[in-house]
Amino acid sequence: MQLSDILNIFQGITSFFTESPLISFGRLGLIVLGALFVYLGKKGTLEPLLMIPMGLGMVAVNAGILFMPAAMSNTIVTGSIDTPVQHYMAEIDGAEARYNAEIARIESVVRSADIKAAETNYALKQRQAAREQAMLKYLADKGAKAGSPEGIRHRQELETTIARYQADLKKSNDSAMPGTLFLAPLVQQPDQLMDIIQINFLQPIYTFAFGNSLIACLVFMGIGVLLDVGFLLARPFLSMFLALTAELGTIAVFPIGVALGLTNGEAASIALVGGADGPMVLFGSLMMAKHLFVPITVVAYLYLGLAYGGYPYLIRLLVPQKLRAIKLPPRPIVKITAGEKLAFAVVGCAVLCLLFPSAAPLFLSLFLGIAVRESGLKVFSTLIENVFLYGATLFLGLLLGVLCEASTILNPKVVLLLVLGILALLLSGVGGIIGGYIAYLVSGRKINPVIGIAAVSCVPTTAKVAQKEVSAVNPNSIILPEALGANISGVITTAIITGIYVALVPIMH
Amino acid sequence: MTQRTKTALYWGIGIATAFGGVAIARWVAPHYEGKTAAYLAAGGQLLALMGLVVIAFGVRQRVWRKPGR
Repeated sequence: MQLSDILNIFQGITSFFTESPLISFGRLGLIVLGALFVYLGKKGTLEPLLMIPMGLGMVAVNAGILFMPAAMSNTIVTGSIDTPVQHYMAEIDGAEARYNAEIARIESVVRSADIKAAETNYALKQRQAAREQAMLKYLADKGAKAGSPEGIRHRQELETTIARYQADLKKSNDSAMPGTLFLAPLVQQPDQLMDIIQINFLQPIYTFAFGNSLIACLVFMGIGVLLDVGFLLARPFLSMFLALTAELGTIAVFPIGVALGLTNGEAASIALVGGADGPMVLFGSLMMAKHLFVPITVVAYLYLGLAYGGYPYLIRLLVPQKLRAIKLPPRPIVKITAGEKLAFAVVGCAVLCLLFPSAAPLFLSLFLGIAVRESGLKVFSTLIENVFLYGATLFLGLLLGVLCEASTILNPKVVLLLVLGILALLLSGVGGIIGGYIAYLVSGRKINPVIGIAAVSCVPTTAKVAQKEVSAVNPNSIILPEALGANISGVITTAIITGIYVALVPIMH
Repeated sequence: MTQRTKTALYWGIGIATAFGGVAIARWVAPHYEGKTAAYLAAGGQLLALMGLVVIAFGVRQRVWRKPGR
């Protein structure tokens, strides 16, 4: 037995020394970060329901690296090429084989050298024309014109993709390709996907529930069951106004992101962090920036976890103690009936789905949750709240953690995403409080401006934070019903903005 | 006008406004081109959302009405 055989037994450790130092240090860093998430989750600093599975997933995926057998890594490499690139490579290979055979035939025939040279030259020109034709077809598939900046970018991307594919294929044939038995997120070709589903244990959940946003919709359904739209209906103007001002980050970060070099889809996806709704960010990034959805969603959930700890400081910084202590005027005794809330949910769902069909799955999920709650369907409420919501949260955390492989997360854009994510959330918080101040002034100094922070969605965290901060200075001031109204309005507004981004980004130039 | 009729009126106007807005944004706007289409679509979407606000105001005026009225 040689040393290499012993090292081969402990491939997780051996792979640290065979990969590039950046990836190896990245893996180590992510293992430590994962452990830190578990610790902070247990301590309650970050949301434990999400951070404990996510942290453990990060530890496991970065530790459990092995050298994949050639057959498995070939399946992953060939399955990860997207269809237009696959078509392009097939056409290029076909043209190469056809004209190489033609040139060989010309060489084998007994004829004068001049004629042979002319015929060979003609075949070479034909081969070049076939290549150009394949490129034009590829660009047409991508919706770009040959000479345009977009076309040049796609051409460069294609060359990089093919070079990486060939390098990966070589590595794969040498059985030197590192990988895991958790999941292969980039595999998309149906045949290879069917093979890989039988190998990677989390692949079925990823393919059938994550990649198509089902998990995001299940979480949203759960949020719907927890929502009481009565709070919104009781104070519609205040709730909707605050929700609009609390979208400052979602709107302002989009042009900032574009100015800093992100594409429209990437900038819109990271701007959605300002809406403080995890499922919405997941849905939006899957629709608009699929290649970056892992870092964007991880950044979003990380910051949403931190919002609970950070927003109290923002409130204390921007709202003086005297204003935080304001007690709201008495509320009406009449209750809003379940029938009214159900009718509002039906009309709201229909109108929003008609306006923004691209976000219809989110609207349906949210309003289905509300409808189930208001219809008094206890069995469904229990199922959605206890099984769907918590089951989806567990797998969401686990999959996000498992997707945090060093090679995926060490993207140069991640630092920019970290900065823009916190900026979006900060601006939304500031926008909400500005809205709160406007409401305070317009109402004749009766509305507590702290309510504004609750409009930054993130149900019910921000509403609870607002109430906690108010109770700390005046235990008799109850703002929770108004805060929840703004909170619910925030969810709906964020869903509308997601729909607008998803609809507009593909047609923006 | 009774409270019931008043509430029903708000709901009726709200629903009509909302679906009218949807019709303008999704049906009328695509028949035009350029800026007209963009303005019509934006206006329609705004109108549709206003419809939802009208419904919410209908509920609000019932909930917040003074006792005895």
